[in-house]
Formats: sequence, structure tokens, C-alpha cells
Amino acid sequence: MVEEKYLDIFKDEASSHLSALEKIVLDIESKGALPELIKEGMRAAHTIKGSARLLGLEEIGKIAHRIEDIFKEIDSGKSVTSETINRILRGIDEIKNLLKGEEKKEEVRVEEKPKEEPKKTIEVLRIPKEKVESIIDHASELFIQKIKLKGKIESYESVKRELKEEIAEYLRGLVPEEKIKPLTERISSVFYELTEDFKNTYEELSALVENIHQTSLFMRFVPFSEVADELRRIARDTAEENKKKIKFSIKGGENELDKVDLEKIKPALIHIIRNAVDHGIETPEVRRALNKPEEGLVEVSVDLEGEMIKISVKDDGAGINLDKLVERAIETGLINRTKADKLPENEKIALMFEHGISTKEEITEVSGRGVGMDVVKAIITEMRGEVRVETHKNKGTKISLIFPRTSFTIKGIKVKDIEEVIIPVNDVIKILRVKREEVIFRDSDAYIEFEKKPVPVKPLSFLLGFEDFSLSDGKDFIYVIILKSGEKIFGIKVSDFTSDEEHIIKSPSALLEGMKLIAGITISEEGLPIIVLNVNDLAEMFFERVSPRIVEEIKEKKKKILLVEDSITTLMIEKNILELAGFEVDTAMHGGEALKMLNSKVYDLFVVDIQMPVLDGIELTKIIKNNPVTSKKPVVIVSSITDEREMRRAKEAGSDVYISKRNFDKAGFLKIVRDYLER
Amino acid sequence: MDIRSEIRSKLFKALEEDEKFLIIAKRKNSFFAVPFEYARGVIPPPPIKTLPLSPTFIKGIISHLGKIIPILEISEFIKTEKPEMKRILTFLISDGYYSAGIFINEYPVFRRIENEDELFPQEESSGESAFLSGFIKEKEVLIPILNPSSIFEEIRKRIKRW
Repeated sequence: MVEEKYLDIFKDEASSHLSALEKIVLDIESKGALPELIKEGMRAAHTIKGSARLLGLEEIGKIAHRIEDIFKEIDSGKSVTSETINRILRGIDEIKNLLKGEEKKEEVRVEEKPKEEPKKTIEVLRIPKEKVESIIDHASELFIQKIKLKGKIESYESVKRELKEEIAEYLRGLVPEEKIKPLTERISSVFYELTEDFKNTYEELSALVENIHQTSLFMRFVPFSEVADELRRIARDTAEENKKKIKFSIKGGENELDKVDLEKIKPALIHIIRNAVDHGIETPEVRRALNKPEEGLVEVSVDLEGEMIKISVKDDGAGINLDKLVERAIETGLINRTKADKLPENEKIALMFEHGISTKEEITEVSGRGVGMDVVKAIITEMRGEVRVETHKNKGTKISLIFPRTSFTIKGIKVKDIEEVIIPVNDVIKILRVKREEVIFRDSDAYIEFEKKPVPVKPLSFLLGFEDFSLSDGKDFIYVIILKSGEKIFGIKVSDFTSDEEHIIKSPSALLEGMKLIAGITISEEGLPIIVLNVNDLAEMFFERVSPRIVEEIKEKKKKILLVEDSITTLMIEKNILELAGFEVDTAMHGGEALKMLNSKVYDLFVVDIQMPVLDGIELTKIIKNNPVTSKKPVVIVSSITDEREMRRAKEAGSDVYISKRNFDKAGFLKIVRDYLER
Repeated sequence: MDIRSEIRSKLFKALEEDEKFLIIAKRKNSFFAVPFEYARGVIPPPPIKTLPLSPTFIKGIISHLGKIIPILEISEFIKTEKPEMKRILTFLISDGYYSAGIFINEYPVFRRIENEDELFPQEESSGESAFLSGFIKEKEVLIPILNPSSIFEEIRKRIKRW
């Protein structure tokens, strides 16, 4: 039985040697069997063998021995074929799998980077992930307390000013006027000294806290190159399986990102790289025919763009076959042929992210789960990022994953619309102050003009699930924040906002992971959690999950009238009068039809005839007046019946006014309608 | 030994030594118990933030020692009264991975389970059975014993569907 503590040490050591071995083998394949590479390889295999045997891990020992022998053969002059490389790589995989069987606890590697001598051995500490998380949590809490303290100092400043005035006021009449000023000045100066002292201590503490906070955050950061060998190996194996030749490179591997983010995007990158080699890069024969070098290029680049990190996978292969993609979308019923014919190129490309559009052969088994481009997009969207695709026939494809570099702090704007939330600055295009009359109401939506294009606007409070969703807040202007999510641009109305500030972003707890709309949580100066909005989710809600209620309310300028009349002529005349007067009019030919419409839309007024088939106007009025939603809405009866008994029945049913068709005049009718709508 | 006694005996034996201690908390006039190993502490109520469009079993979130902790409405899982809002404390529970708070009205008390006769298995037919480990008899009243792990599991399922 192997003692656990030794096993842990061995696993650590073996993993490091296996990574080195993998790199050596791939270098031999690309650069040739250089003596120093063979020597290093032999040494790594030998060390694994020795340690494994010492611990009684015979199986691992045997495989390492086999690998060592292969290196010895190479050293003695045997030529290196792709089969030689494959044999070594298979051996490495076997050892990795055997080690994985022993894996128990997820851990992060904390690396101490050498400052002066880059070639010095990196000292690695293994610290359980929970401990790192705990340090980050406590450092974040310290940071929040620092912000709270700053708020308190500012409030002391204002107290100091007020206190001086108040004391002067109090003393007036009690002591001679000439003594008041020196006294208040003295009080003020003592207060000043105290607060200055306090401020100095705060400044020192603040610097320390920020230092601890930053250091703790970056404990989780690792260079992208940590996954370089794995990606390189995947590209190489995929090429081998598909009998293709590739040259794989990584640019910007030294750029650091959060280990957690790196683990999240790894399956997405693996899928894109496999696709690039499998579907993008052509076979050597095809490439020769196209006057391309036999060796296809696959390049992964990592760039830091402000607060964002951009990881791109570029190939010089065939490009995405957009026609094939469209055909698949038609086959699966996602779009019809008419729509397909009119589809612009960017929308054709977007089809690749639809679930089920990928062909069977494109679905790749990665880390035990199928990952398609729809999943790639879902991963990046969850990270508040976006996927960009550029593709050109026979020139290649570039797929970029762009997401915020760090998940610990965020530059955001605090906005309020009933509820306070933070909106990441990266998602904001502009904040506008729009006059009420500049809001355009078209069909059932509200728009504002932005960069000469209409942009739809909805109140944030409505999107957050509140009942109150007025667009104007009773003011003659509204604040609109123009947001972007991928290619979608939309506006949200907010009541108030503050300037952009740095906020600590915290995970909303494992229990709530995956909840829509929440990108993270930050803490206010008062210690209250505030939600950092996931703008991608908000966009989805904005464009797809619109309740009819908001549509109705936003269109507040146009009052909605349901006109119920069985005579086509009367119906058309009344409808025409009302529409010309600026009302939105829906029509029903009898009470039964009107009832169905009542269930799907909210009306401001009803114009109802009495004699109608299915359900007459009296019965319809009773239903309208007994329904809590419509009971207060005016019912205007327009009927040719002048019998007093019928008129009384109409009144008893709850109608508000009775207009006789015999005495009908356009102006009088409109006045009654307007009067009742204003009540 | 009848079947109920047998289940009761198994329930008692299944409890680890730590779990033989229960923490009994009060909400308005009703009680619930939590096995000791899940209890993490009781704190005064920090400011709570409601989450937009959240399910009714999540009352909101609080910040405690650098961590964001959801507050659960357990009456969505077991039969219990909602707490009186004038005197609120937050009872923190955790199964080692998930953590949550439950609003209660009084400081909870320790209760040692002396023998298996005090334990009663839950009725399988009851909808809340999945979220309870059983009941403890206290002054002739049967107090439900929460099974926090199954509640957490259910919450994860519901949030995924939400």
C-alpha cells in the first residue's frame, strides 16, 4: 500500500515530467531528433520509472521503461517515424490515465514567478483550491470594508462643516459674538486634526488592503501557455487521425488569465481546434491542387484588449461552407428556403451556433461530454463574452473568443430603475438623455434614434420583473443606456445612474450558479449585495421574452379601443373615425369574438352594439363590468335601439353611455370617447 | 420489532455521533431541526437583496464574511410557518459545498438524541418526505428534521429548470 503523502508527491513529480516529455516528443517531431531532446526525454522517462518502482507502481514503471527504451533506440540512430512519436504519446497517455485514477482533490497551482532570472526553476506551491478561494474572499471583504471606511470619512467631512454652523447658531446669544468665531474655529481645527489623522491611517491601510487584494486575486492567474502542450497535442493527434499535415503555433502564451476561466474555455478551444484541423485544413493532396503548402497552419493567439481577453484560433483551410450550413438549417426546419435565400452572410455564419445544426461528425467527445458550437457559444456567453467568426472560402477561418479578462473586479455603472444594479462598462455603448417627445412609438414598441438608426427601448424595471414599467417616470426626459450584446443593440430606460467605478465581483454562491441575469454580485458601501447584470441574458429577455403588458403600456400615446359591431358598414365608419382621431382600434363582429380578444389584450374603452349574434352587447357589457381587469373601463353603447327598456337594461348591465345611431354624429361620438378616456 | 420501530432504529444508528445532536430552530410558532453537522452559526440579519425573477424559494442574498449566501424560504419544501419579520435571525447551514441561510425567530437550541424512541421516520406519502430525515419528539410535538443535502439538490434541479 502506497502511503498517500508519497503518492501525492509522486503524482506531482510525474505530471511535471509527463508534460516535459510531451513537449520533447512534439519538438522532436517538428525540429528533428536533436541530441539534447533525446537526452532530456530519456532522463524524464527514467525518473518516472525509478520513482514508480520505488512506490510499487509497477504498471507505471513498465510503461516508463518502454518509453525510455524508445528514446534509447532513437539515440542509437533509429529513424523517428510518426509511429515512433505515436508510441511515446500513447505511453504518456497511459501513465496519465493511471495517475488520474488516483486523483482526489481539485487543486490550483500557485506559481511564484522569478523576477530577475527567467531561467531559474519555478517554485511551485500546491495549495488546495478552497484555501485560495477563502483568502480571495477575505481579501475582497477587506477591500469592501475599505470602501465603506472611505464613505464614512467623507461623511465626517460634511458633519464637520454642519457642526461648525450648528455650534455657532447655538452659541449666538449665549456668548458675545466676537468669541463665537474663535471657538468654532478651534472646534473645527480639532475636528480637522482628528479626521486628517484618520485619513492618513486610512491611506496607509488602503494601500496595504489593495496590495493584499491584488495579490490574492492574481494567485489564481496562470499563463495561457499552461494549456499550450495539451492544445498542441490535440491538434497533432487530430491531424494524424485525418492524415493531414499541420503546423501548430501559439502566440501570446505568456498572457495570464484566471485559472478558472482557462478551465472553462478549454473544452471550447479543444472543439474549435479539432474542427479547424478536421474540417478546415484540407488533405495534402487537395492543398497541393489549390497551390497551398501541404502543411496547413493552425494558430492560436492570445491578446489582451483592455479589460478583455481575446483568444483566436485561425486556420488557412477551406473556410466554412456556408451553403452547406444553410442547407442543414433548412433540413432541420430552423429556417425555410425563402428566408434562407435572403439571409445575409453574418446570419448564415450565426447558424453554426444553433443547436443541432452541427453535423454528427462535428460533434466531438471532449472530456466525456459532447461539445458543439452551440455549447462553445453558451460557455462564452456565460462568461459575459462573445464569439466572432470570420471565414473566407479557401483562405481559412478565424474564430475568436472574447471575454472579460478577470472575474474579480469589474468596471461598471450603477443604475437604478426601482432596483439598483451594476451594468458592466464593456457592455455600454452610450448613455443618453432623451426628451419624451423624441421617443418614437411604432407598432407595439418604443424606439429612440441612435446614430441615425431606431433602437428599441424598454424600462429596466420591467425586464427585472417589476410590475411598474412606466417609460417616462413622469419627467419630460428619460435616461436610456444603449447596450450591446453580440450584434444586438438595444436601450434600457433607467431612472438614475452613477459614473463608472471599479466593483469587486463575487460569485453568486454555488447554489445559485447558472441563474439568469446574474453575472456576479458586488457589495455596496452599505454592505448590501448588488447584482451585476449579465447583459447577454438581458438582451435575450429584451428580444425574446417580452410580455404583452409592456407593449401595451409603452404605447401609451395611443389608447386602445375594442369596437364590437355586427354591421360591417357601421363597423368601418366607426373604426375610421376613431383611427383618424389617433386611437388604436381592434374590431370584433360579435360579443363572443370580443371575449376572446379580451383575454389577450388590455383595452382602454369599449364601443359596443346591442343586437349581435352569439353574445349580445348587454351580456358582453355585464362580463366586462364583472371582470376586475376591465370593470373600470368605459363601455360606450352605440345602438339603433331607442326603446327605453333596452336603454335601462344597458345601464343596469354597467354601460357608461348610450349613443343612438339615429342621432349619431362624428364630433359628438369622438367627444364622448375622449371624455370617458380622460376620466 | 414492527416495521416503524425497525426504521426508527436504523435511523438512529445511521446518525453519526455529531448528528445525534440536533439544532432546533423556531419560526413564528413552529419548529424545525437540523443535524448538528450542517449548522454553521446564527447571525443577525444582514441587509438582504432580492434577486430579479428568482424562484419563490430564494428570498434573496446576503453578504457574510466575504461570501454571498442565498436565503431560503424553507416553507416551500416543508410544512412550516413563515417567520415573523419583526425579530429575525439568520441560521446558516452548509453541507460543505453549498451554503444557505434560513430566517428564524429565536436563537436555536441544542438537543441531544438520547435514544431511538425519540425519532420518528417521515411518512413516505408526504410531499415533504424527500426533504426530511424524520421527526424528533419534543414535548409531545413532532419536529421535522431537515435534510439540507436533499434541499440543496432540489434547489439545483429547480434552478437549472428555471
